[in-house]
Amino acid sequence: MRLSCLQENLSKGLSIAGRAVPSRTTMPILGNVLLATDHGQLKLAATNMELSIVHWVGARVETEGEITVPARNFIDLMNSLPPDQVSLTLDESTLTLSLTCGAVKASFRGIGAEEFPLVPEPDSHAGFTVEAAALNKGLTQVTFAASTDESHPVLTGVLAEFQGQSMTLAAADGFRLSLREIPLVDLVPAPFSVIVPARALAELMRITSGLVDPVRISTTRPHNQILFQMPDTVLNSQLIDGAYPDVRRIIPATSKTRVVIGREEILQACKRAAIFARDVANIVSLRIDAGELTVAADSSESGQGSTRLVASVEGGGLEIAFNVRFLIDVFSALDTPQIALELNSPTNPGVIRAVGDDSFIHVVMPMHLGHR
Amino acid sequence: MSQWPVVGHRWAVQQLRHAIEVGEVPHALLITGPESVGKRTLAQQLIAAMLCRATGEERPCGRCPSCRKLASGNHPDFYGVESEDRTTHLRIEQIRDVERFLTLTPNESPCKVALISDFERATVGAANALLKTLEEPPTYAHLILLATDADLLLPTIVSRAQQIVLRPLASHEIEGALIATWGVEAGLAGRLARLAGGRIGWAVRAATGQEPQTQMEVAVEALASALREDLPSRFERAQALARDTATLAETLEAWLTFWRDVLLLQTGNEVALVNLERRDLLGSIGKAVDIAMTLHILAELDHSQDAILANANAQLLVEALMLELPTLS
Repeated sequence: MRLSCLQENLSKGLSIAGRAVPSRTTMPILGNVLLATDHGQLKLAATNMELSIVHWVGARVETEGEITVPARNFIDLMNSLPPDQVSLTLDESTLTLSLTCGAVKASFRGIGAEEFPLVPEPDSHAGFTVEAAALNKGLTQVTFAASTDESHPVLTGVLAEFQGQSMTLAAADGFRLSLREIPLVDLVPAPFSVIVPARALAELMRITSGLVDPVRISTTRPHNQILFQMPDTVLNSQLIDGAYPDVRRIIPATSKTRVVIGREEILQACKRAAIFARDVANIVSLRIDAGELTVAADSSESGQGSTRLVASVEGGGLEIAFNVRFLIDVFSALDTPQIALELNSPTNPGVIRAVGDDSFIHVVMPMHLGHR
Repeated sequence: MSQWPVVGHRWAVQQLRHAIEVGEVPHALLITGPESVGKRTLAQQLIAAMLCRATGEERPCGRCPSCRKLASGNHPDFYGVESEDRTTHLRIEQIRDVERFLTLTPNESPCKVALISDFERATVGAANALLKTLEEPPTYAHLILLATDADLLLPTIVSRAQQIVLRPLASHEIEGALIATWGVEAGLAGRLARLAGGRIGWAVRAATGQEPQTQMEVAVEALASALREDLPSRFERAQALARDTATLAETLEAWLTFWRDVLLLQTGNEVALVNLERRDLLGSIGKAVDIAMTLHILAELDHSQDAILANANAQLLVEALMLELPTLS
């Protein structure tokens, strides 16, 4: 293998692919990044067995070849190089990759590329196209609700249902549920659903942020990996095997009280209340009266604070408590100017919707009000 | 048909090879047997065969990409955990890692295999954490548990796994394997096979110099000298022995075999002697003390072994033993 490419491109490519390199691993090969020539480009790939990221950078390829080199060292060195042409030469017999860039010379002892886990190649015919912005928005509004508790592996994933001309993402952790429908450009021939690890989607969110080109989503047969194909990057994730709970059952069908309020105002009020809620298990109370909503937190040790907001209230007054972290998460993830809060009683789950955007729904369990 | 490179345990090998051939390897397999008897070797062969992608020939082939990845520890569809060293427990986080591994769909093979070694060292929490996965594993998942004894595990674990019990090997099997596979010279092979007590792994480590095989000789030598010494010298010896807590268990084990040999001689059984090269010393001790004395010392040694495990004061323990030993003129 002999090729040359620009330091900026290689460095940027490695910063994308390198995200998949695990911080600790029992498999030595996973600490390496794959470099391979591929149709006149340089292919970079890294995987942690859960997700893998492949990124292509432009290069002048003289002879073909492939190798894996220790990711951390290679990336660190690359970031330290001057913005200049980088030449890479592989000695196939010793598996040593030599690098020159201006006055800098370096070499890396590699592991043969055949040891690297297979990364599936995307099939350009299969799959569905989705607008990057719509996908990114969906991920932003759903992924945060996934559980981080490894004792329920299924809940650490995000359910992706493909049906008709849409993809529905849902995540729940036992205390809250976030659900969003994202339109697809193509029609799904046969409906199916998969559970994608939230960590992989968090990475996808980072890559798709600011992306203009559409993303192509496909699954490998028989639905054991999912691939997200972007212009220079393919992110591919293993799926979580299991049955996702029927989350639609927990969405309350009706509500007795509906409050419409400015999103930014209630977000600020919640952040303020969170200061006092710190040492009372993040509990804040929302008191709803005619035409107003009061967000309050009361800590017997550190003090108390409340914010009164003007709101449009339908139905009766009510006082309900929530974990303020959950409220901040969802209000920050939304982008509409107004949100709607639909409640039944202090012991029933509350529903949060984005006003003017019917494809999103969030359900959050209330907390016990304690009492004063 | 070539054989798996597993010494002995022919029925187990046959059973597992058959399972591979018909493609019906159980979802949960529990391999039990004494330490160093060959559990891991057997499991590794089975795992290699399950992941091997050769068709129409004996699996594992050792040549396909899958076999090569497994050999270098880089197979994406295999995950192994064990207790970090011989004194620590298998922690619940390690079991969670296994669960996480098994929940994700396979990477490149039709199945995924997790190997959990030293399962008798799992904390109750860790063992219970595994129950759910054992009960309803994903269709592609295989779990292989290794433990010294099924009685040390939760019955709920044992009942959910198919058990394969490995017995200590006959010493002629070990002797043959040492000569044929490891090229050990015949005399040494015979002696190691006798000392190994059915544990092929120990014999191999001793033959290849990884196990302080001489430790046993040092221990027997120390005992032989102690028998001729007066109390002050014995106490000095006890102090030296107790200082090295790592080898004390080994020393006690060696003494136990030694006195067992004495008892065998006293009862007229020459065939099963372990310390053959000390035949003369054994004989003279056998004549000098009576059977009751030998039995008493064996009981004391047995008790000391338990006490060491229960964190007894090593020096006091060895000193007490020294007091019990008879004095040879």
